[in-house]
Amino acid sequence: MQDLHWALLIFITGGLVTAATVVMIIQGHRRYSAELRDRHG
Amino acid sequence: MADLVTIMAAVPQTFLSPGIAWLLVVVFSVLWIALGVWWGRQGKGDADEFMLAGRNIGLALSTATLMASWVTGNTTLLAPEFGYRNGLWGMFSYALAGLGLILFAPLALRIKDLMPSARTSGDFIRLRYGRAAWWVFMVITAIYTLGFLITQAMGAGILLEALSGFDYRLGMVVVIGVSTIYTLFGGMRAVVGTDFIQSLLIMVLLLVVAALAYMRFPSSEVHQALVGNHPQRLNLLLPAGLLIAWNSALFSMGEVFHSNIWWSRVFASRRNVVFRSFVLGGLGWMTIPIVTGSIGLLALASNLEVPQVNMVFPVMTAQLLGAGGAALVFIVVFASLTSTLDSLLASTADLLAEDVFLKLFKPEASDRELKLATQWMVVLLGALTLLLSWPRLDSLASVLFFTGALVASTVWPVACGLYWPSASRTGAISAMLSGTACGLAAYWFIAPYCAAVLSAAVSAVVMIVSSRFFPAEFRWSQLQEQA
Repeated sequence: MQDLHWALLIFITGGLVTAATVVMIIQGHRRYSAELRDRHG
Repeated sequence: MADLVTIMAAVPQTFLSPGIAWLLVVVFSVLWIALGVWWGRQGKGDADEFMLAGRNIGLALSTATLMASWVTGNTTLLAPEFGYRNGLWGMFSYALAGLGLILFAPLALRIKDLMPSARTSGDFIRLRYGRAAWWVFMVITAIYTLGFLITQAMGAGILLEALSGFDYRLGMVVVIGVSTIYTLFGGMRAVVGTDFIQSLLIMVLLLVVAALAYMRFPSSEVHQALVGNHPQRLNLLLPAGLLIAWNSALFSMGEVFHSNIWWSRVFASRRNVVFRSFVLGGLGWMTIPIVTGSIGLLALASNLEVPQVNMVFPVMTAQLLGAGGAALVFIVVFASLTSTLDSLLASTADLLAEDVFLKLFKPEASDRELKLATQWMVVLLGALTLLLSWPRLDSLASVLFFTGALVASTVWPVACGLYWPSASRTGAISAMLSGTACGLAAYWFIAPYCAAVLSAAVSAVVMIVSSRFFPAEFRWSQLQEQA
């Protein structure tokens, strides 16, 4: 049971880091796309 | 499932006669070298042509070279091992490695705009975070690249031995030798051209293997056998499976975001195709570990005993499909190994020639000297790979997971460095060092499977905190002007 608790903790951590990375990249890309649109009218 | 077990017992130890194996080796070696040399003669012949194929690759070639380079010996040897050891989670987790390519697509577009004339990922780290960060980055990428080269070379030796009884070292020498020769003469254009054919071969032949395997052993039969004999492998709460679940996704992001293999593809492709080629390459690639991983599950269902766990795919397919199957697997893995090794050799040689030879030791070097230095690096890397892979290791996974602890620490420094002007050099260095230290601690004290997760998590926290509380004020033009 202790193994399962450790594994779940790592699983949740991994899921959160992956989600945070995806969100950071999408936000960065959206800001960049908006900049490009502004620059080119 | 009883008939499957009977078939396993009846099949001999080697599956491809030495004559056929030699014929395939000679045919494909001659083909790759001839095409590589021919493609290498196209274009202007300067350093940019040799290192980045003239920076003019279109969508089809770009997508194919991304897929072929990402289909490694590990995809055909390790993905089935994951399925065999960790069941469903192992198989799906490996497929998540496609996320690395897909998420790099927006970054690739940004790189192309910010640094149109750069050549390597090292250029970016040096200009964005300074020389100290560059040293940390180079140590990480050197260890990763050597680990990657070793697993590919060992995969080559293991494959030929498993399929045809060749000596382990003979197989290794053939694959490394062929890749080195055509990369040496053809540069990036040869790598991209051969990758295109290799990716088509891999996709078509894997489709054939999957179709034949599941026509012969229906999925309901396999499922029943797994439920009866290995119910834990279907359990989504299996602790080992949960540990591995996100590891491949974060590991792959670390590999793709930092490695010059992928940065060189960005610089080599046209701007209007980079985004689409990374997305398409990632999606196409994801189907491959699903197929090879399910072969691992098939091996489990049949209670197949394999002499070494990373031989699950070649042994299983050769036994299921006979001599024809063995030949198919041989071609698939030979193409996978050469297409990855050529990319590794070419892009690492670019990195060493540009970042070390040109920028560190001889800034006044001419274009011709730079090209010559790159060619020398290809040869030296090929020789070093042979030397390091000579002693055989039991599992490719142990080498690979170790490097995961290092490369996952670069995900946030690279991505933040491209989007956040507030990302600082101290933050990036601290993130890479602390992420690596925690990842290695997790590798030794928790489980190798979760090294990349811990490394990326710590590195992310350090980047966020340092950028928020000790922000830098980076001007993007600094990348363009000096590059």
